[in-house]
Amino acid sequence: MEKVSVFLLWLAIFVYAAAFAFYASYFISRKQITGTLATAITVCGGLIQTGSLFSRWLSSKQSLGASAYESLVIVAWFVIIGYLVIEHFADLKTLGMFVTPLVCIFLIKAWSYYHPPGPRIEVLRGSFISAHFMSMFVASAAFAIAAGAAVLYLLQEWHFKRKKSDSILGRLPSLQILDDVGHKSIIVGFLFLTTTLITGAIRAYQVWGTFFDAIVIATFLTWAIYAFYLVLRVAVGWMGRRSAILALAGFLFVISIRFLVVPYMSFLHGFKG
Amino acid sequence: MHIAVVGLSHKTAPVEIREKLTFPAQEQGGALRQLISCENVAEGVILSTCNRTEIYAVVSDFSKGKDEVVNFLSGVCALDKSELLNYLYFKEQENAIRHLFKVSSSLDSMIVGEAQILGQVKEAYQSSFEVQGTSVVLNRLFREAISVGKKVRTETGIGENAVSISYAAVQLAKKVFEDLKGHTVLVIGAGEMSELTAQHLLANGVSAVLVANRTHERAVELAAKFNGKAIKFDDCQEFLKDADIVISSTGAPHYVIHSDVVSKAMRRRKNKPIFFIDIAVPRDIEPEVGEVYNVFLYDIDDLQSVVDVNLAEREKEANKAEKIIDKEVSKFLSWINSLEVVPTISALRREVEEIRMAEMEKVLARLKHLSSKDKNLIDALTNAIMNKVLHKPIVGLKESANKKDSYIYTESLRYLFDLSEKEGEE
Repeated sequence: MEKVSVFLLWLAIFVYAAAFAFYASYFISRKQITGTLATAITVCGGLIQTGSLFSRWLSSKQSLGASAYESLVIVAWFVIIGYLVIEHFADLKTLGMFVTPLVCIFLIKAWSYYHPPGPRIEVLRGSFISAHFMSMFVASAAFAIAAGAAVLYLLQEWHFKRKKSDSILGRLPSLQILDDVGHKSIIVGFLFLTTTLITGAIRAYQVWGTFFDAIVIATFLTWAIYAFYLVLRVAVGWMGRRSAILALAGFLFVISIRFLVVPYMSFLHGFKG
Repeated sequence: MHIAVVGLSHKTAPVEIREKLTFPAQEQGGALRQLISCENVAEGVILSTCNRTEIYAVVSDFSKGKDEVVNFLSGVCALDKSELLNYLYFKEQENAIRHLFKVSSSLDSMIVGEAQILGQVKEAYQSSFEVQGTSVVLNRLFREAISVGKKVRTETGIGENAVSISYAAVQLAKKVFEDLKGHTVLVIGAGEMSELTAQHLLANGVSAVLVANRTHERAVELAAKFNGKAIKFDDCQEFLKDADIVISSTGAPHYVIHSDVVSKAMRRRKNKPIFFIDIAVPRDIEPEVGEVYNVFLYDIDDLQSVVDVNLAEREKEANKAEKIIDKEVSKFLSWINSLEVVPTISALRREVEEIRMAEMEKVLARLKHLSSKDKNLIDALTNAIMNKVLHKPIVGLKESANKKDSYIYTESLRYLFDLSEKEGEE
């Protein structure tokens, strides 16, 4: 069963790469059929990856997400799901051009942490802790999408202010929808990040009697950035470029927590993977 | 049989001539009947728009048919034939087909890529079809032209980008706002240009219009037209906080809107973006306004450069369209050629001869004992039957060749005997 899971994982990577090619070619050629195919291929990739996760679950006989490999795979999966939901409501295929390669990178990076399924260590058992990291995955995925929208926003704004319509950048979506997608993704991400912080703190306190750790501080900082984003938006109307930059900064924090704080600085998350 | 176009367009005739030669919808039926009654004209369609009047006809003899059509036209417009000839162009067969395909794809339009012409071609065909002005050839030609026009629109970007200042403003507004619905436009200075732009914006969904003008009466007038609200000219800075799109085109010799005012308005509207379109010369809006956070400013030159780029883009797309048209023209030509009498006769002979040979071979394979003399006899017999059977239809066809609608017989013959078009080319 594990072999099936691995096979499907790689198949999904290739399918996502193909979807990227179609999104890019749609962006250039504007042919309706290419765009429709791009979406269809992404949906296929999502199904294949779901199959991969499902067979991994069958072979490991426990809920997933408690390892570096599984966590990245699940974040990638949430990104795709989130993206498809957005595409269903808004014509934002350009965003697909950013999301699909990002997901490929996530999955390939995940592969570098690959390990065969095995039992979890004691601390990571239980549905309470599952809720902790699952909400972190949803939050990360939402922030990734927001960051993609932010990049597109900055590109489009730069292009629009240049006042030339000669480049292909003119085909980017409108500023309003990019801003809106970023904002909504961050609301979702923020809610889940809050859940992550609370559940993590409680669990850490139960096990070690403290929750004072590099990762808690870093996550709290990230949470503060997004809180700042949401508050400033409502209070003084920080929309547009400034909030796009904040969204990117927040995502930079999310990335560095995952790849710098967790492996090197955190005592609480120092269990292997 | 020839396809012919006789007509004039914005490229060959000034408006004083074009306006004389028009066919209002209610008169088209009668005109068509008159056209078809010409001796050499078998089918006809009248395409009459503000930029062109063209007669598409199937004629048995090009120069005679051409003359008849010219007479018909000069009768309609009461212009002297010799004068009319200065403005007319004539196209025959391949050129005529290509011309119609170009017209329906909007390559021949004043504004290349405009969308109206396809509908006008459709209507022209429809109204001729209704009075039985069209038959085999023009039916197929116009259906083909309409589908080529559609193909060009979907497969090239010929109609994609705005090529007028006012429409470019709409296109740009859609880069800021996803949907113009729910947005408010403030028009400062009720000139013709701003009226046109506001009209486009309204057609694209803008919900509310505010109009400010130095002479308030004019503002009220324009506001009434758009179902909007007239505001006092001195209040327009006050209303900036409500406006998402501002079109300015006053005749003022100095800036009407300054950046400090806009900054203040932006604070009050919590940085919701504003798109300023300054179409006035001298400019109405201080250039620094464009540097205020979340404010976007395009002046007339910026809009013009967008339009220029789009026009160049259309040129490029037009080349793509030409390629599509070339392909369709040659397809259509090979069908047209197949309607000629002589190739049809030889195609018919070839078809029957092939059947005869195949049957002979089968039968002779079983009659191996026959002497070669007997075999020749059988050959001669079948040949004679074939020629007798074909004699009457072939003579009939040859006789019909002199009639103006002979191709109706060739077309039916090809249909009945299932003669493919390719053979007709040889």
